[in-house]
Parts: sequence; C-alpha cells; structure tokens
Amino acid sequence: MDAEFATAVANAKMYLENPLRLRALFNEAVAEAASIPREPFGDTWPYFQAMLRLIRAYSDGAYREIPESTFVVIVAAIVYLVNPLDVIPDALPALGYLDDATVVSLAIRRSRDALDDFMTWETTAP
Amino acid sequence: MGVVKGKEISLEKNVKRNRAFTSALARAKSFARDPKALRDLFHEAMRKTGSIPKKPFAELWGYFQAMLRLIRAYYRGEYRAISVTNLVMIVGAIIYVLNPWDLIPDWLPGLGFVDDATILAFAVQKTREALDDFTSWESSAR
Repeated sequence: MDAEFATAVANAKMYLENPLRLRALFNEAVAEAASIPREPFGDTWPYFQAMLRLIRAYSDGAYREIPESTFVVIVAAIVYLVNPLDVIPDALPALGYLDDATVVSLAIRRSRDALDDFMTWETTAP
Repeated sequence: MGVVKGKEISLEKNVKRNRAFTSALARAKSFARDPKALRDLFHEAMRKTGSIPKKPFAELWGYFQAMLRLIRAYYRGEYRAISVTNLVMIVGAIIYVLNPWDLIPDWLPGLGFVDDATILAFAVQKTREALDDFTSWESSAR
C-alpha cells in the first residue's frame, strides 16, 4: 500500500507549482466531500476537512508554513479521493480500490503535526 | 463509533455524575445566547491552545479545534446552523478543558475528577454530526 501511495505522492508534486490547479482540486474535493459517507472516516473527518482548508489556504497564499514533502502527501490523498484512476493506474488491478477513509488516514499519519499546526494557526491568526 | 456499549454507558454515567462538568454545562447554557461571553471564551482558548498538551486527545484534537472555530463562527454570526443543545454541550466541554477558574466559581477540584480527554470524547460522541456539518460548511462556504 505504501508503494502505491508513493506513486501518488510523485504525481501530486505537479500540483504544487500551480495555485490554479490546486484551487480546482479543492473545488472538486469539496463537491466530493459533500457526497461521500462520513461514517468510515470516524474521528478523522475534521482532519480530512483540515486538509481541504489547508489546500485552499495554500492555493490562495494565506498559509504556506508547511514542508513541501508533507504538503505533497496531503495533496496526493486528495487527488486520489477525487480521481483514483489519475493516481495509481497501474497498481489498481492488483490493489483493488482503496477506500477514501483509508487513504485519508494514511495521509494523516504522515502529516498530523502539520495539520495540527495549521489548525492552531487558524484559531490564533487575527 | 468503535465504542462497545458497556463502555459507552459507564462513560455516560461517569460524566453525568461529574460535578465540575455539570457545572460547566450550566455555565455553558448562559453562554449560548451571549456572543460576548462566547467571544471571551474563544479568546481564552486562543491564549491557552498552544499550552494544552495534545497527546491525551489523540485524534480528537481535530474535533477540539473544530469546536473552537465553531464557537468563533457562532459569536461572529457567520454560522448558526446548530441546535442550542449541541452548542451547550460543545461550549461546556471547552469550558471544562480550558478550566478557567473564574468562570466556574464553585469548581471543586478532586470531586469526581474526569480527565479532559474523557469529557471531550463524551462531547464528541453527542455532537459529532453537528461538528462534521460545521467542518463541511467551512470548506464549502467560500
């Protein structure tokens, strides 16, 4: 699973230099989030939503205090969520479809501190 | 989610018997309709949020932060799509966690102490849907 996710991370790097593309990803993800079941996410739903807000804040330049390597992990998870076929076309047949909540929790495990920092910024920034 | 029924019941009992929390909830009732009190509470949270240890909350830290932003959005009038019952539970939990002595004059430490993470878990269990609705609103609102 980690190897496939690494492929997703490599593909996600393309989004980083392009704020408009990031913003488009955010818009697609918000539409997706409105239609997917929340139950599988359990306690991670607020972190999933924090990822979306972080992508928005990054794309409009409001917040960029995150290491690129960490941000890429977050973007990769969201790209997968919006369009899994874009991210791991070759791995899919063997792997089967990873559900959204699994991918998100995998990304949280690697970006937890950064997401916590972002949320702290959200509540403390004037 | 993921909580066995027996554990859920004992959590409910422990929390409801806890005098400090019932006192925080009573306080929260008067706060719910008072934007100024909610603003003061949020500012108290802003001052303390950096020094509250995250570890005991584990993944519920995300919900804790969502509660704070909800209180801010509520007193600013940006978001009011929440029932008073849920708002009181959330405000009560935040009051308890922030432990502002001046807000709860009859606070008696040691009297049925329940740790912050347990109170937060209880409040999340009661208000999860409202909090998830709020975070979903945050990303779709602008």
